[in-house]
Amino acid sequence: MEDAEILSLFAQERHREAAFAHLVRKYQSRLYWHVRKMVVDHDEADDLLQEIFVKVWRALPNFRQDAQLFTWLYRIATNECLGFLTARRRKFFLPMTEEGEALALKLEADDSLPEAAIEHKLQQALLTLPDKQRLVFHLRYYDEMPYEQMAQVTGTSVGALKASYHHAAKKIEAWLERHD
Amino acid sequence: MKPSSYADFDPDRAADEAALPLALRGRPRQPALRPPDTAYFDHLPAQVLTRIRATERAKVSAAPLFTLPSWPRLRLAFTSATLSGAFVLALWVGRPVAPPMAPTAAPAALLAGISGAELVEYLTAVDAPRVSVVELSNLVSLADADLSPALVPVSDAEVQQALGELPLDDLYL
Repeated sequence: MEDAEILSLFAQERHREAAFAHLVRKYQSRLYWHVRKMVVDHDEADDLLQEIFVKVWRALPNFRQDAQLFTWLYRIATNECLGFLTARRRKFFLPMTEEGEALALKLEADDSLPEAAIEHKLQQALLTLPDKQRLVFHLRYYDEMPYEQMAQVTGTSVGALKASYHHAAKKIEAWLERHD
Repeated sequence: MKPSSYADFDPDRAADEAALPLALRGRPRQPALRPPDTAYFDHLPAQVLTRIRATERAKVSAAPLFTLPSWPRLRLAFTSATLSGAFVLALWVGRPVAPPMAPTAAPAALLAGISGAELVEYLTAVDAPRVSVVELSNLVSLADADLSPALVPVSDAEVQQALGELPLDDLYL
């Protein structure tokens, strides 16, 4: 179902829930992985994703269709993820480096990949990055999102995003060399 | 996981690929995280709707009985009127109020209820306020007046006795 059709149905009171169920089905996988890569733990990702959809439900009547629905959803999810990580760090008084170590302990590795696969090492290296830099790397590397769209999602300029991605790549390279 | 709407040609892609560590170049871009159960995404829409309904119910039950109007000018006017009303009410409540008057009976009736002995005892008590000079002078000036026995239900003998028992330092006249 097209976004316009979902939004049109959502505007009608009696079709609202059905339309929203379509929206969730359409975007749940992409948003789940976006959230999961940030918070790592599945249960936390599940809870946060549901909370994100509740916020989308409330905010959808105010959605201006001058932006893509997917970009708008990604933006909400991104803000919620960053807020969640900040709140968790404050709650447990964790410096960023220790939080990375705590997240690494929660890593439930994909069994389909060999244990020594570079993907595992990359996942651990990513956890050493600051939240926003990790987010930029995820959007660019895994989701292959164009920088212009990333700028809309993160509210950051294209130039700053490119610089952030390249810094992240250098840090990951250095981490992989240290842990080779 | 990539949306199909993304452009196939991305001018920055080559540069970004070159920035990656050698070991990551040209590899499938897959996060090394265990995927959720296959049924997870089947149940998620229903779970989300359940959560939304619960949240909406909680919001309705917690909603205030009265909310301010949304139109800014009307809201400002309403707030000003409320504050002015509260100010006036505070002034009205805080105004000085005379203490309520105790119901009074006629002095004669009050005095009638008190025996002469009690009056004398009161007047001569050590810790009671003594008869002042002014009162004594009034008493002297009234000596010849025809005081109604109902107003001063005390016999002359009792008065004389009481006056005789007054300490000398009060008897300036």
